[in-house]
Amino acid sequence: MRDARSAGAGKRRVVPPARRRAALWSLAGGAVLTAAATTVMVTGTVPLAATGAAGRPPAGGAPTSTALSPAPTADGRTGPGPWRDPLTSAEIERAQQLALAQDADLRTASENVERERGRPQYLGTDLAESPPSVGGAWERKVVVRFYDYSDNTLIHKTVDLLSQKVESSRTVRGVQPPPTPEEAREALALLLADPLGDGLRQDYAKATGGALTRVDQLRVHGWVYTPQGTQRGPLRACGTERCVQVSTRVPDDGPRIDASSYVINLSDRSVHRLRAMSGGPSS
Amino acid sequence: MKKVFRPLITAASLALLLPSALPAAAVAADATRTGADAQRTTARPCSPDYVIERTLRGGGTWRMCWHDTRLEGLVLEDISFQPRGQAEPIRILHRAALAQIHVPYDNGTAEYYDLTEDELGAHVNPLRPKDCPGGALKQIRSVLATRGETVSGLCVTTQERGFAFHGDNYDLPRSVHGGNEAQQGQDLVVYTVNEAGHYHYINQWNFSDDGTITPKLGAAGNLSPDDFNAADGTGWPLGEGSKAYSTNHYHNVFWRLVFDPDTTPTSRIEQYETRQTGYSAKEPRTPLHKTTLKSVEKETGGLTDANAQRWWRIVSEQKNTDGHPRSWEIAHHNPTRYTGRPFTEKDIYFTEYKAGERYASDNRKSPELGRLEHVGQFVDGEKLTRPVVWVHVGYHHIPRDEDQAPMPVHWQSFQIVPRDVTAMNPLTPDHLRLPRYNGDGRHPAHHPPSDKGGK
Repeated sequence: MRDARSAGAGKRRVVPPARRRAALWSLAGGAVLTAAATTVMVTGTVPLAATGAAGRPPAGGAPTSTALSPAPTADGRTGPGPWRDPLTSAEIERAQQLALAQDADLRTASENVERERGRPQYLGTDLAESPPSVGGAWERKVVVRFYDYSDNTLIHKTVDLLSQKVESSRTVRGVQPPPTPEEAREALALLLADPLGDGLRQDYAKATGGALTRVDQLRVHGWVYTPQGTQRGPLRACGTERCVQVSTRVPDDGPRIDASSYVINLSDRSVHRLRAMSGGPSS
Repeated sequence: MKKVFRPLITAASLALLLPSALPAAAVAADATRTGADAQRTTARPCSPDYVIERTLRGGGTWRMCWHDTRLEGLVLEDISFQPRGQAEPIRILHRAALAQIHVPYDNGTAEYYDLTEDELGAHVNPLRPKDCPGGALKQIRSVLATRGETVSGLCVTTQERGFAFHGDNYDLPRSVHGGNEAQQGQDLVVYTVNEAGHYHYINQWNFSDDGTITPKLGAAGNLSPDDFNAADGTGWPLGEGSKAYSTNHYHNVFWRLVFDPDTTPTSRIEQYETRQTGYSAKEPRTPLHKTTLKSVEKETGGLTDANAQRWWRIVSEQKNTDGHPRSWEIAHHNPTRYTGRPFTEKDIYFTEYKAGERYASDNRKSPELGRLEHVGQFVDGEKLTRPVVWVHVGYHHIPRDEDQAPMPVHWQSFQIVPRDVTAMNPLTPDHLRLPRYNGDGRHPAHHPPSDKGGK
């Protein structure tokens, strides 16, 4: 069950974190900061409503590269995409850069699920709601979401894609959004690296006749493990720390390999087995 | 004195007189728009790829923009309907989306929040052409994408909905209109299929050619194989004998509707009830009923009620050409009210617009939103000037053998029905768009007598 209540004492095994690519990332962030400041000055002279001769949003303005686009011009053909289109991949990337460029702590001291320093775990970006207003002005703001494994915080930053400014930043502790596919894969990797993963390996061998040695031999889906009520034992930190369960399946419509009796604490990289319960696993 | 259309709207009048000149009339209306007017009515906040625009058989045109978010999935914005013969689109909604699917199991072993715990919106299934009959598939972002970041997961199509009307008009010779007046209705239909665990939800919006909107959620997929831990009273035996009890559970679905009627976000809410007041004095002592109005001035939650026959409408500042305020009625009867959580206690909630109030529950999982957790807390007596409507529709699923497998779709829905948006049925054929068919009871042949005169 996703909300399995009978978490039992499990074996704890800590895998040392990997550290890669951190320096390169910081450098990129610094460059972004300069470009963003320049763009803000230019956009200040172009009112949002003035883009497009008839108040039309700039058409087809979605940038095709990950570099920062020039500021919108009077004819509205550059700059951010039309106000309320789905976000482009380039905009999502740019929003992340902007969010990090204006937060030195996050850029240097944070850690992702693989414990790379200076790289917060990226969770996703959404187009923010544009409030209703008399006159019908629309906004193009996004919410960029990170999890910092160095201090177990969830960070949501609202970035205005037009002004290229971070408008607000909220940091909370004890809130666990669903794991990204990347985090679910890391959880599975931790499970496979652990003696507790033996059961999974045996089930895989039974189902496929082959040996399970790599994460990419399975499709994995993860969800947050939330302890119910007062907890004792090694899982009591879950909730404050980021604990997940996973379900796995052999790719290409292969069989499910049950892994949901395990809880993986991604924050301290430990693996636990849930005690047998009345229900059985859920997904 | 009532008029069918304002005589000043020349394009509309022209269209009335010359049905075949409709496209020309539309062009003329376009050409007369200038300045602020053009900005208000023609500027769409999205590019052509992300506009859904469809003129249905009855002549009305729906327009909206779409995008996706990881939790809500499909978000529809800037929704307007332009009835046939109307010079301008009529804005209805600023934004409309799901606000939560709460799935508690009866034996207490599980309680899921499919939007906020499973990021339902990010899990869009790819659709095949045959999953979108007669329509077009659009690419939408999905974590289920196996190549790239999107799947062909948004279907935009049309569906038949049977009779839009069927009637007779006594004073027209049959030779003129060929017998009964009848027309088949057609809907613009927009949907995605999103998965949460073993469930597949069809997140569908029907936009009818009579101006009605029907948001509906279809639960499909498979029963959760892991929730077979029930007993008598909390589940139902599935499969041979009584070895496995599939657990009963609820799907409490919430939609959040940011109304923007006539592009004036200020609007008001009215609540109506109808009750029997007694019997007529004369034989045969006919039951008498009275409908009463109560203005909803402050944030509140409401209960649908078969006895009080309670309903609500969102009233615009604008009027139709009959001089009646335009409004949209929430046609809603929650069949199953789950009493276990504070946010499921009411069938409908009206809150003052706040960007930080997005999800009916689990709102704090998005830290950029407000401090409050659920819609029950959003209702705190604030004065309503820009009301947001939260509609809650429950369903108690007691599994049956037929649910496996795959499970037949079960639907939960409500409707947003135009009430006095236009002076007549927007599908009324041109030869009936005459005062004598629009409440002008003086016409001797009119039948039955109009009930609209008292307003």
